[in-house]
Amino acid sequence: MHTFAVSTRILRRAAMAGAFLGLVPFVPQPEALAQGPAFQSPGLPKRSTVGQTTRFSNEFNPAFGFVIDTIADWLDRDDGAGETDDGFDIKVRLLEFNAAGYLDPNAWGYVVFVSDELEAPEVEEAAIELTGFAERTSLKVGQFFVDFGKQMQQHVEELRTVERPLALRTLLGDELGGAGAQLDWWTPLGDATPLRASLGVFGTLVSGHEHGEEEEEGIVAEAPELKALDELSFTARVTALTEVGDSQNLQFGVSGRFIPEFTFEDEESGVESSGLSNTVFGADLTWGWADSTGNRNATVGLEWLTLTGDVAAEIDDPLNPTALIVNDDDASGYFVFADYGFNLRNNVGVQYSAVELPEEGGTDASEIEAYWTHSFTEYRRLRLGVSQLDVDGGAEDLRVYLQFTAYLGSHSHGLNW
Amino acid sequence: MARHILLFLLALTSFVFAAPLARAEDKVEVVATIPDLADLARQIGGDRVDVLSLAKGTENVHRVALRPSGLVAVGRAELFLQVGLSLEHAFVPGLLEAARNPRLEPGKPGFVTVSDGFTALEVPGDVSRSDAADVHPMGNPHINLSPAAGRHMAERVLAGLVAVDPEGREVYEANHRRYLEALTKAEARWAKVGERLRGKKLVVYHREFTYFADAYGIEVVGEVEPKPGLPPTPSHLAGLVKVIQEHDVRAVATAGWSNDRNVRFLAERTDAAVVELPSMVGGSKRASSWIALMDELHERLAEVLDPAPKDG
Repeated sequence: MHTFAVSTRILRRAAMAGAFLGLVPFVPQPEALAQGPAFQSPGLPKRSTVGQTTRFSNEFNPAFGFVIDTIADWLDRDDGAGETDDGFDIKVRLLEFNAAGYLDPNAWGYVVFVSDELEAPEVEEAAIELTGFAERTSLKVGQFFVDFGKQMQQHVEELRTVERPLALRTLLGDELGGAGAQLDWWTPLGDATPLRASLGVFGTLVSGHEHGEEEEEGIVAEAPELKALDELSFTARVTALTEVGDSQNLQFGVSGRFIPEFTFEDEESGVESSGLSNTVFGADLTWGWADSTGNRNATVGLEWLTLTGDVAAEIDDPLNPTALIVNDDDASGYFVFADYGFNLRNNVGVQYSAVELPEEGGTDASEIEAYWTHSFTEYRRLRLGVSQLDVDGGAEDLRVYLQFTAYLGSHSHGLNW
Repeated sequence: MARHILLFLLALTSFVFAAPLARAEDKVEVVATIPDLADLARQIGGDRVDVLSLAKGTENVHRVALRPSGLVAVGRAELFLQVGLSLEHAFVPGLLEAARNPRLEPGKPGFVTVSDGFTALEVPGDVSRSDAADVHPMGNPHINLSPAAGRHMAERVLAGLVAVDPEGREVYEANHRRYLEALTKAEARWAKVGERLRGKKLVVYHREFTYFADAYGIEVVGEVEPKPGLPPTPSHLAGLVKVIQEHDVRAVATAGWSNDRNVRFLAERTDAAVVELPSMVGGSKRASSWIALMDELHERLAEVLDPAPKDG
């Protein structure tokens, strides 16, 4: 039995190595770069460069910048159980530090640190995007936001609305980041329709923002530290963008996020349930229009998601927990929005989102938000908005907010679609 | 159930967007950031090239909208023409990154910056965000509105075409010669009209017409934008009314994208006329080529700044 186990492991490793090496000939390699001798004494780190990144030069440092996102709001809260509260608050919701630059002609790197409400900053993204492969192909490695739908790649302060749509933050989390690799490829279909596909593999996509964590206090989702190949998490997206007439675009996409192995654990009692999995599918449709000057524009979008599998858990007996009851079910949600930019600096919009709350037995919840955004320049933005969150037979939140977002220094994004 | 839905949607995608993958014609694919460069590429490339402009002539070049056809074209292109001087910094870096076309990487023969070698105006001595919202560290980027830029841009386009398609050299050089002949005649027309513009005073919305004004000694005495990229404040507009009255300015020059209520406010409070000018090829019906664009700019500014005496 022991011998059999060792043999299986060796065979598995050999198969993985063979599969990897087998792929190498099919990956076009970037042109070799001139490399100078490593000027270093034995045993110390060698750098295969020609001296362009020495500690004496700052010409090749990455561009960096900060984002300061400040919110002043008034909240009227009803928890649905007779408790009500209202009041004002002002806070620096987040402080983001970002740095980005080319490592060499075939690699682009960036890091993003975020401090939530001025607490200790955390690394939100740290990734390298490798080009130099086949045309229209890139590979991103590191920690980064996954490619799902139209909004999950964006940091929350970049969104049209003050928070991520209810359906997204319920079914995918406030943010969906993971450590792994993502292959991205696109191809033209005709002269006016690019189609893009991505496939990502991650150590895990179970995150601190996993659905249900806040409401089901004490029960957390965790991934195994060491995983078999079939226990890694995956994402996939296919999307096509096309023109409608001279001034309109239409985009359609489907996305998936797959977590094949995780555990629900009640942190207080230590009771857990393992061997769980769940999947989120999504479909999005977005239409955009701009007038001949580009000053006026309109966008209307719809995104629908469904979470299926082990979606939530609860302890069997709150006084004497012995097991977790896992809810193997489906939960769906969607959001629709319309945004109108009536000149260079002003946008108004409305967004409605509805979702079945998986940790509350599929109770329906909805959120509607209306906003006006004024951009003083591309570095300063003020947003006035009002949002109403309703949970069927439960909580109701009314929020009026003023959001001021400032970009200090460099801040850039690639073309996300 | 959800898996079936996903498969259905994937299949739907394939059917909806099924289309020929290959190009119909075997031409040199050229993408230009603005219609002015697209016009030059067509004039010099002739039948050997297939040209697409990313920006429309009516658009604010600092705010060009994404078009899927632009992404496809950049992905296929053999030659990419940009003005440079950070004119297109809002959309070119992201577009090139997304297109991932190795032929168009900066430094490759397929990537041409036509402003290279052209002497820029308004090069800031100190680069600071306190000076403006739109900061162009290498100088004013609107060289396409310089009457003197036609020859320079044409030379750069010719060099780019020859570099990516050496077999077409003779055709390109012959077309280039023909273009220069037409340009020489046009320059003679412009010089004559330009004499009427010399020393005239003008207010502009954005610093698009700096090169044009500099060519003929037109004095730009005010700008609607207090600093490039910033909208005017009421006090700035009030000050501008005084400037227009004190200098007896006859015209406020604006592009289509910037012909807004601020410009109309100035026209209502002063005797200055609002002149909406094309700032790129395609910016008006008449501006169908770069030479036609320049013809229109000269004639319309002359009409308002130095009107011919009326009979009687």
